[in-house]
Amino acid sequence: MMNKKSMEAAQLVAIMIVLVSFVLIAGTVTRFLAKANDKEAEALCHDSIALRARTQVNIESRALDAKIKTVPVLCKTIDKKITGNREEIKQQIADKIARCWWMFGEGKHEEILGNRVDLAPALLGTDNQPNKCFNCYTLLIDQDTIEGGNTIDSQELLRYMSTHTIPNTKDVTYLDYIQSYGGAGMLGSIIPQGIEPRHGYTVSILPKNKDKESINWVKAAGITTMVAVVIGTAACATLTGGLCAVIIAVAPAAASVGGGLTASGLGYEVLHGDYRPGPNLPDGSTNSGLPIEEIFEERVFSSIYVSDLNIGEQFCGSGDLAGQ
Amino acid sequence: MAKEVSWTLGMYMLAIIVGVLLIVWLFAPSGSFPQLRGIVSGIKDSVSVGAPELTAEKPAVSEVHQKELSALQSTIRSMIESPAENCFESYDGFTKLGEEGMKLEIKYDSREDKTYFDVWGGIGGKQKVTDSSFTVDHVRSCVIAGDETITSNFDQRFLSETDKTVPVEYKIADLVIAEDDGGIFRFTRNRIDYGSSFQDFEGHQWLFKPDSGHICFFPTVRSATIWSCEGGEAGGLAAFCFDSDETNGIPSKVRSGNLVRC
Repeated sequence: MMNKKSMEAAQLVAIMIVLVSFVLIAGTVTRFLAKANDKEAEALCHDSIALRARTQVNIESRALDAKIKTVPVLCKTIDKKITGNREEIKQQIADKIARCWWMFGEGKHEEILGNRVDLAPALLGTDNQPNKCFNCYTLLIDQDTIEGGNTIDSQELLRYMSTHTIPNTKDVTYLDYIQSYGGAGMLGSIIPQGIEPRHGYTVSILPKNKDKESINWVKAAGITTMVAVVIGTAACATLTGGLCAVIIAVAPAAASVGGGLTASGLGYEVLHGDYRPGPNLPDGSTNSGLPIEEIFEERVFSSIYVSDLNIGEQFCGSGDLAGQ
Repeated sequence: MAKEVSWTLGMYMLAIIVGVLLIVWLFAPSGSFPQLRGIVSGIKDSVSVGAPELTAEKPAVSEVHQKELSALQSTIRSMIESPAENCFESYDGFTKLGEEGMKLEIKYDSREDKTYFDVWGGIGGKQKVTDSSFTVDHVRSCVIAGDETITSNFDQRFLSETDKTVPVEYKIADLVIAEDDGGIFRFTRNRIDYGSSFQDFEGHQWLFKPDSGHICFFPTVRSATIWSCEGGEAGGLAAFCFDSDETNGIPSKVRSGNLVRC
């Protein structure tokens, strides 16, 4: 009887050891596979982008000007959890920004996510991107606190990237890598509250999609209105004297419309890619009156943004482009 | 069976012969169909494969702006090293920065107790010019603006000298110096933003050190009611205060020794 009991206990211990071992081994293997999958996904994305650029068919004739991509984008948004001390968090975010820039050709290609003539966007997996930009990563700060102050603001992240070099390179800082290592690039951020614990962020690539700044028609309209009002008022006053009183009274109001349009034509934050939302603008417009859409819409050179998760997901495509 | 095979073979041969003849007719120097050959050649010339690779250079500012930045940096450093307080110093100021040209952001970092002078330029003025940016330790930027009392006190104490006992006040602020269109009926020129919007910056050649921890800049105002150097406007001192021939202006007073250089 005693023997049987001890045998049962031994069996129970053995089973428990097996179970615990299984959990430990499975966890390790899963983690390894996940890491390998991410690396593979990054490499696959990079290769597909490179091949897409090399096989682009350019047609330039009087009848048709087209740049047709024949290879699909095989990229997927990778979810990452980030933990560590302040420096480690900054380094991991900087690494992901640099990795995303690498995957999408280091700014050397324009309109890499779209075609100038969209032949089959659904087939090529780029039809779900509102602004032809893509979220390479979603990052979750998976801890309750960040040492040395609970927030890492955009300036601190930028300074880290301008003073720290990329591992395995000699003198290339993260910022230099983005701005000038390949094609020209810009690093921007839309993190009004900074990087905070238990919050999610996106790293988004926005490839160049136009050659040069088009005329700002809003601004042009403002200037035209102002000039017209000034000339009209002066001419009227010269020709009709006192009869122009009404027009002169109305002129400042009309001109102020023009002036207002002029003032809102250029957004301050767009100059350097640092978005600062106004306190009462839940609709997504910025404090200078410039909607976020405009930041994402037209790019004279490629840029990469760190954004709050909701903003990144609202304005750029996410998911598995290869699995469309 | 053999008949079918030889028929298929024959068809292949025929197709190859026709193909060869077509190529000869099209591309041989004395070939036929010159017009068709032209069209085919045209298509060949207008089609290429492979996206052009874009390249870039490290962002930099112009030589002139770099000199101005260096002058600003060395002037600030010499002012900090000087034991004097309530003192003035001039530097070159900034020539036209350009609509998408250079921009200077001056920001204090409390964690490091350091002020960053970040320079932006490059393509579209949106790239950080790391080689031109610099930092200054243990000092914050400020402006003689932001409140009527600040400019009024400054005027009474240093310019009109009506009351030399009033306290020196200033507004501590992060700053942006850039070209700005100024809105309605105003010229595009270099302006300074100390928190709310861009203000005129005709005092751009002068700096003021109220104490060992601050260096102040001078936003300015111009209006139809201001005809001489005076304070009292929240936006800044009157632009006249920086005219070299204005009796109560800073340049004259520094020249005459009424105001102290750092």
